[in-house]
Amino acid sequence: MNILNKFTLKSLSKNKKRTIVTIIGVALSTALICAVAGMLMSLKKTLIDTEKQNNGSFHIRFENVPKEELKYIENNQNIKGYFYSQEIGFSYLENSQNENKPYLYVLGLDDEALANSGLKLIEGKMPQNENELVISNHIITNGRVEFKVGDTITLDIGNRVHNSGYVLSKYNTFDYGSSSNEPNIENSEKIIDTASKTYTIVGIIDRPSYNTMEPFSSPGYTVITHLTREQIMQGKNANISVYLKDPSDRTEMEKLINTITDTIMEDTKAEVKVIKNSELLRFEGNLSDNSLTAIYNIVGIVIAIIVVSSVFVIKNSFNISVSEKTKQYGMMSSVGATSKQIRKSVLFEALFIGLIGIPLGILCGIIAVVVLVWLVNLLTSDIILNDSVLFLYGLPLEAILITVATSSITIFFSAIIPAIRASRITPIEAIRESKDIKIKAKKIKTSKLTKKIFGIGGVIAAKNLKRSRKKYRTTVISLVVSITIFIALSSFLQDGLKMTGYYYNDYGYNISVLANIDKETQLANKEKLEIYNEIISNFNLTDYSYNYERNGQIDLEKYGSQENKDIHRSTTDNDASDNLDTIEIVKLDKNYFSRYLKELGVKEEKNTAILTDEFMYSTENNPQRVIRLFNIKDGDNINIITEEGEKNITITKVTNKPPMGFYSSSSVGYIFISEESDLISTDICYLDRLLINAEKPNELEANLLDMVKTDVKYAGLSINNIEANAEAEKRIILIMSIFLYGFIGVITLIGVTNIFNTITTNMILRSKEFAMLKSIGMTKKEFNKMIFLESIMYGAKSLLIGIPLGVGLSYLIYRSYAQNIEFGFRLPMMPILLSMLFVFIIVGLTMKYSLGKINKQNIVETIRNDNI
Amino acid sequence: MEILRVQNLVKTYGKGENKVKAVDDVSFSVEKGELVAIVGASGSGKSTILHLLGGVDRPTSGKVYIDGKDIYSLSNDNLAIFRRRQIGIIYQFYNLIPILNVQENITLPCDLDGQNVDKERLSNLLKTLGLENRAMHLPNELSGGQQQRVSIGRAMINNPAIILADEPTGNLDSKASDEIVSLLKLSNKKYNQTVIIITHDLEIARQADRVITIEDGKIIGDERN
Repeated sequence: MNILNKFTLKSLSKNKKRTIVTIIGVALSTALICAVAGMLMSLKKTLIDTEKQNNGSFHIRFENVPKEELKYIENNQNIKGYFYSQEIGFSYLENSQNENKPYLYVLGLDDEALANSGLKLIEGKMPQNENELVISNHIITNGRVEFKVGDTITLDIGNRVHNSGYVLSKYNTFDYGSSSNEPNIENSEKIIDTASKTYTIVGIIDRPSYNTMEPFSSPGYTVITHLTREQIMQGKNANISVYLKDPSDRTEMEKLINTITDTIMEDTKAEVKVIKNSELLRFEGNLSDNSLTAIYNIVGIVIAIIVVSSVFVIKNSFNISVSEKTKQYGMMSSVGATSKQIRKSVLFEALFIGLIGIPLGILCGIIAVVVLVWLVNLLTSDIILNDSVLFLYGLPLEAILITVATSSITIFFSAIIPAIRASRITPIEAIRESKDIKIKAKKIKTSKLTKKIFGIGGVIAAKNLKRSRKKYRTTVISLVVSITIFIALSSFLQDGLKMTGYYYNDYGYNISVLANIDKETQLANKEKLEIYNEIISNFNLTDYSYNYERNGQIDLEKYGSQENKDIHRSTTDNDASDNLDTIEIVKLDKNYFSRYLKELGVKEEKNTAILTDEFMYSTENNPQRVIRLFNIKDGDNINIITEEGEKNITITKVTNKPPMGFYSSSSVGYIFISEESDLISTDICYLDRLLINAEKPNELEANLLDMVKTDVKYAGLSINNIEANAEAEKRIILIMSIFLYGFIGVITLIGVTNIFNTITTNMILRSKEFAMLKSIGMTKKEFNKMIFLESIMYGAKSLLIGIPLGVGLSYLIYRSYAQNIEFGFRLPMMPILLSMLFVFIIVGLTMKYSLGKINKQNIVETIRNDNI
Repeated sequence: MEILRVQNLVKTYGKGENKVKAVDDVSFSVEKGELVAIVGASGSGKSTILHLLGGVDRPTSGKVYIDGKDIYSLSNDNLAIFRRRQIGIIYQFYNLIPILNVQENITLPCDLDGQNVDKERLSNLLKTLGLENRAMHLPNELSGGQQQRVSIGRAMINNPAIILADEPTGNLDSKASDEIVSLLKLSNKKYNQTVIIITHDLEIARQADRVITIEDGKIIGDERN
């Protein structure tokens, strides 16, 4: 081995600790890059996989291709794989409740198509022959036609034609000029050439993808049977779905599509319909509005931050290593080493560090990705309900190659400047050791105050900081970066947690159920109430409420508060309606109303009426404050204009405690009365949601969802689990915290490696100076105090810069979402205190470590030893 | 045969009022095989002259020819290569590489040059230097005299045109000093090696073939013993 490389390795092994710390720094930065790239790849893989599951695992489908033309597609060299499907035809769906979807659309798929069309089986199995069928659950929930697995149905399947004779496809909506459910009457279209076929229903699938299989406007519910390739070849025109070799090449893909459609058009005059699986193509990089671009950009910025800060830190390690060897490089040069040889030897050092650090970092990065993906899946598994795709591992070779390249560049840039510096060391400088003592007295002047307060130890400490300003600048900056990021991100996360708390805390209920029924109010109310009552009795609910609502009008001049009038004047034009303000009349169910009154301490009478009219009001100049909308007191008699004429209502009590489901932040006043009150009739009101405060909301939700699935009657129920939503948001914030704190943690650790190297090396380089100080009579105590002061001084310096920067940054983040939240900016005290603690611990520990080393040294030997 | 020629060598430091002429228009030449002592008081410029002769510093003006080659016409890298082949420098403070052992320190110029070390020459040299049992020791395991012998070995390994020694005994006791001087004389006699010693020790100077006296950067005496 070359003597210079040998020398480099020997120095590395002599400074084992520093070498290890530098390698750790490199490994951490590599691991961070690898983890970011790995998470990006995992995200991409997850998205692509989700798309494949939802929309099918193919890129393009050519529909309605004459069979003799299929070969042009099958033999195309840009196509990796293909599978077939075939339209069998339309049939009437008897008793379909959706007047836009009166048909069943029967489709035959081959084996591969069944597996790759994004079909999700809910119940039963997939069809295995041409007599078996799966139906979509949409037929049950939307069409309200009851089918069970095991049923047999006989369908008259044929072509759908317009009265003009034009053949219609599934892409033509149903002409619902007549609202009759009976087939064939007055419709502008009909099904002809029917053939009868009996199927057994063997399974139920989720509604097929609207992107690639059943468009929203499709006139038929898709049902799917199995066809072999041979059966398809015997039938009419086929659909062929293809998987491209390179889906990211957009122009190539368009060319392929045009060639194929043109060829077929020329040959047979058949018009081929082309369906692109655009969501999948998008995530595979095909379309210009690539949703991943934004993420790629963010990841690019993050990696740039990592690289820049790593170069900064690792460069410092090489700088230390080089300046420690300044004299030796000078000696080398004086016995004839060329600058190129010396530069190469520093780069060899970098190579060595990289050869250990990068593989180590990649290993750690891969472990980090595995752990993070596992953690994300663990944390999300029970909150994302059905149909969830697990976050997948995706760390292909290219991510590792990118990491290796990025890290190598990082190390190269870190080492090249110190290498050039080393190669420029002239022998004479080394002999005189002049480079390191280029200081001027003025530059290191300290104030007399320092001497008075801290004594000569303090003066030397301060002078030393000023002398090695450049060396310490890197340390201070890396501390500042860590402090700033830590404070800003922690206060952001705390606000995030606080916000979700705000939104979900005082609802008073945790599950809401709304029955959607498209009927006149009166009838709908009756049906809804029936469903609500069934739910209440089925699950033995006690803590629940439902209510009927209706708008009324109130005289603004007479009853409105000054603020309310101001708001009105500023928001509406000057016309007659100006004098009226909306007030909501709410009839609460009688059980809940009694409980509510008890809470308020009001005696219940038949026409008891409660008013809430507090409003969280803010203008540009005025921050939020609570105002009242009306000048109404307990016992006031007020007039409300309703649909049923003007009503006179006596307000029993005015309160700022609304019943469950209502918030004081809405700008409308509410009058709460019992459902049995005769102030207005229930018939003109709208029955809103059933609000439930369940003991076990998740269990109840699951039971309710079961009900929806199993009984057509409940199909239109929409269920909202507030607790689960809040929990989901908290989990997402937790995941974000793990990612962000992990990121801060690693960036900080990289900084710590830098701090450790700077401080310990500086201490060792100054050991001669220290020995001299001790030899002229500095006691151990004084010496320790001097070192302690030195660490305090630059710890304080980094805090002095880092804290204001961090607070400023968190204020900027606060400002960006401040409009949506109801709390003011507060100093992130906790993060500030933590960062102070952290800085002094890090600096203190490092100092203590090197002090221990120095105190062990013998004074005389250190002074005499010139070869350090 | 002339091995070294110095022509009008000038080296100044600083600017304006602070300008100091460390070497002021010095010219002389040295024959092959001569043992020359350069003496002078501290600060007289003798070390600067030696550094200029050794090609580790650059003169303000003037020329240095070693074996007929104008060394300052060379680029830095070529000068470095020239140094490792043609010049051996011995310093007062030895300036060994602390993490390389004795043998490695001695063979450093060969290794830098990518040459194979002549094993026989190395073992002869170690024997001559009295270091045959110390070849694998690190510098800090040796006494001052031994360390200086290592640096003499390093200077001699490539059989250079000229050996320059800057106060080689300045840091040593009298016994070690004598050893070092005898070694230098031995190499001078045995290998007909040209040696230039800088010293303020007149006892050493008396053993040289020729004594050049420097004061304020100028030659004020050039005598042959």
